Amino acid sequence: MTQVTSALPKTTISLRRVVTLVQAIGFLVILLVISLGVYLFIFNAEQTLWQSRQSDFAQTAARLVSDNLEQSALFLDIINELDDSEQFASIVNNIASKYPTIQEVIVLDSDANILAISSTDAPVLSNLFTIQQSNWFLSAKAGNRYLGNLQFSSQNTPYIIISRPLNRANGAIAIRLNMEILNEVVRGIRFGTTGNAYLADSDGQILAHSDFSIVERNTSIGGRQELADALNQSGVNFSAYFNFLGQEVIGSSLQIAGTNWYVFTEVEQEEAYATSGNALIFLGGGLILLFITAILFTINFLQRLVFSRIEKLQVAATQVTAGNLNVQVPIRRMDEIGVLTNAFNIMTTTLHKNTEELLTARDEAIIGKELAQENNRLKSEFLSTMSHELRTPLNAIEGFTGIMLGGMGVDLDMKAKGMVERISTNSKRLIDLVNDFLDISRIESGRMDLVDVPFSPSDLADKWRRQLGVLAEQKDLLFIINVDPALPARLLGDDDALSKIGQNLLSNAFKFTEQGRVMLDLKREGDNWQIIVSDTGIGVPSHAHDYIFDEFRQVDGSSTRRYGGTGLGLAIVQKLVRLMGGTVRLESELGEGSTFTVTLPIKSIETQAITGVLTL
Amino acid sequence: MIPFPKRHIFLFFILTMGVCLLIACTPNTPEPEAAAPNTLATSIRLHNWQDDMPQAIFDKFTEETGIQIELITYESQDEAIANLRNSEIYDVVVLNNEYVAVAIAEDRLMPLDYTLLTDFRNISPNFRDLAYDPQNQYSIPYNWGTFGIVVNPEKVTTPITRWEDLWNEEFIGKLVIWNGKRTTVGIALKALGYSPNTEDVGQLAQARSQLMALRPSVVAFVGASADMVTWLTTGDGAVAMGYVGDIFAAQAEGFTFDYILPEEGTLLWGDNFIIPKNSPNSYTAHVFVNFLLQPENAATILEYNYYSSPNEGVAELVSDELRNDSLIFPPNDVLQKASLLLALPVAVETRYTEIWQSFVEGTNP
Repeated sequence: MTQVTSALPKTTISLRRVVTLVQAIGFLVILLVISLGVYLFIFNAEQTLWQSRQSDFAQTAARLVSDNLEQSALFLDIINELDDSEQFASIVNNIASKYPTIQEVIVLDSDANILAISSTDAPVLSNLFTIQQSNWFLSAKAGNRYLGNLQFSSQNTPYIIISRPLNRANGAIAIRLNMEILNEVVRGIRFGTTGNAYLADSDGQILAHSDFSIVERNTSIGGRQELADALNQSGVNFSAYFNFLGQEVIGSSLQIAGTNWYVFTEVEQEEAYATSGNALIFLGGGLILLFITAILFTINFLQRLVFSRIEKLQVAATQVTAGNLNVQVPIRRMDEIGVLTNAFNIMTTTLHKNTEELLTARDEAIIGKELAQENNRLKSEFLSTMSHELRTPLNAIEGFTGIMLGGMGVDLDMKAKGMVERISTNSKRLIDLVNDFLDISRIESGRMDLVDVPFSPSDLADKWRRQLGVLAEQKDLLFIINVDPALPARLLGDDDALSKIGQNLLSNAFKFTEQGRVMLDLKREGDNWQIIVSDTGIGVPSHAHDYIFDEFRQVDGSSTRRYGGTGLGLAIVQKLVRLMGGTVRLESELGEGSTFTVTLPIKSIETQAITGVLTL
Repeated sequence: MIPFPKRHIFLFFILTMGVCLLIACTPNTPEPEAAAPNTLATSIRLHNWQDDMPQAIFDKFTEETGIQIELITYESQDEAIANLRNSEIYDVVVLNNEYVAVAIAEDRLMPLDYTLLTDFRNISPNFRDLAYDPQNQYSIPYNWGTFGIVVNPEKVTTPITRWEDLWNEEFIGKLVIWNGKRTTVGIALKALGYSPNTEDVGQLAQARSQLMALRPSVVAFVGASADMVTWLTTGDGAVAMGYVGDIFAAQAEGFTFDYILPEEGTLLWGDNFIIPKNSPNSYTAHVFVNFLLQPENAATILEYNYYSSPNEGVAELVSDELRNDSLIFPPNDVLQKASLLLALPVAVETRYTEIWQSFVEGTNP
């Protein structure tokens, strides 16, 4: 079976593959669109959620920081409102102790003389001998509020100096704000696992961060995009970026009212987009599984419904081609393929029946043919034997009548001589007839062997003129012989057979011509040569052209008696010509004469050489 | 099972690509542009006073970082600012307070990157965020010192506690004064209880009268500590308005002078590190300045030049002798009411010049 299948042309465009490809692409597009849609939906929802969370946290952080600053500002305002009194210093001290973020307070008059001081740790401001040149004092003295930038003491304690004018003395009130507390505030702002917040001023210096070492290192986000965005926007500002620690985050920023401070909240993108990331993995995995399942299912389905049935038909057709007509394909269901299968089955059944009949007829024909051939052979053999056996007594008759007519042995009177002459004539005819029979039967029984010997066409023509010229003289006919000079000087052929052909054709011509001429042409016709015998005799009616070459046929029955001959001449000619690989053709017009053209292949090893000589 | 068509592999490939496409669709965070890498130069140019820093400190820096320090010295602050104005190339320059303000106004200084100057925290709050350079945006305090009354105790027996005391008749023809316009006018203002940086015309007029009253006391104007020591010892001088350095100069010659910080408040001077705007190696310059901000390095310098350091970490690193030297580590209480000399508007500066010239010539216009 495999062998047979492989002999069939392979499908170059597999239907199964086309169908599979088309539906796979279709599935893929649909699944991709669906999953992309779902993913984007989750992603957007997640982003919105984180934005609102960040917004909340940023605002919370800003409010907490702002509260601290406002408390400090409020404290400064309260001190400013206090009257000058003996208890001023102790009142200041008393109020200051209620504000945990305030580490030190100093109240100064316009000449930087100290009006009140209070501190919860080692004083810094109170010990300064450069107050008069310090910007926090000069600003306040000039009537402005002052918010200094982040400072570190040599003990690494972060602080910020805030000051405002002391109205009544044209002086200043300044506080040292504990930034560690703000760091604590910021550290407390956490959301999710990685969400955190930090505080930076407009120069980018980080003022507070959950990781204090970042603050301690004077870390600055100056020049970074998130700072530029924060400075350029009002309200909460969202963006995705790599933060100063190199983390990929989504962040928000918000300015703290009344300051150049900005709170930043950041959450790592890995966390922020965890849900959509997981969704992507599950969607992707599910999508692949669904895709594989769908493809396999449809392939299997199509295989069972269509392709395996087509394959069975194909296999059956292959078997039919290989000759096994006794094939029936089972019909599973009567759909389109079922109908096709049914038609196929009917076709093979019909083919089978017809082929059986044909084979029977062929066998009969073969047997008949063999029988006929054998019969024919037996007939020829019989004829041959018969002719031979006939010729022996006929030769005796001929011999003895010849002796008698020669006057040897006996004296015959005129009457007896006449009878002996008739015996002789008839026995000669009988011998001719028997000879012709012998020829025919030899040819037909396949025992006629042709021997190619070299001969000269002009010698052949001469020979025939000598043998048959007498017939022309008897009937006073013109006998014209032409030999084509283009013919090779020597040809190969069977001398005996050629003589028979020439004699038969020429004797026929003379026989059926009463006046006029008989013409013999030997000519070259390409690679062949021709013997053309034409006469001006009675001609052959067109209906006789078909059977003129058959044995025992002359134009009509009367001609035998009138013209003599055995009626085997043309049959012998034709058989010999065929045996020599040539053809014989008749052109004739009733009453106008006949032309027999024998065309034979030139067989001459010298042909080329001679042609070459001639060409020279 | 159906044999798996080869094309399916292709299909799965497409699928995978699709998934990749999905992933690629996720919003992409813009990659931060790589900041220009901070590379250390092989050498930097420092513009400073002669004999201000010991060679050891340069050697130590070179040893630690491989960076050579090329020192280009100047004779005066005027020369330093002139070089800056001529766009000479320096990476770090030592400038005093007044000139820092001038250079800032002329936009010749580079804003400092405090992420590279983490040791700034060692600087005393006394020297942070002062008027001449808000937020220390351009300058880092380096040295400072006071201006006081130098007394040869062998020639003066009455106690001196205030600037005012110099106007005593006792000192007529005995006062030695530095060739210094701002210090001299500033002391007159301090003696009157005014700021030495005042722009008030009335206060300046009073200061002129005050100075003219002092003129008979002046025996000499000097331009070097050695000259002052000579005048106070072998000359007619007995007291002087001078620097701590003058005391050390006298000590070098075997004299012991008294140094008094007057009650009205002393005048303060301060030197600062700045990085010129045209510095080709500003990163390395920051590294060097931060190196000098480290207490042990500041201490090494102090032990060499005896100038007071604004670095709070220095005190515990120097010898007891130095730490207890009130000239180098003046106690806080005597520094109360001290005033830094600040840059003045040109018109006001001119007025100070006129007062100074009148004083030197001893004539009222």
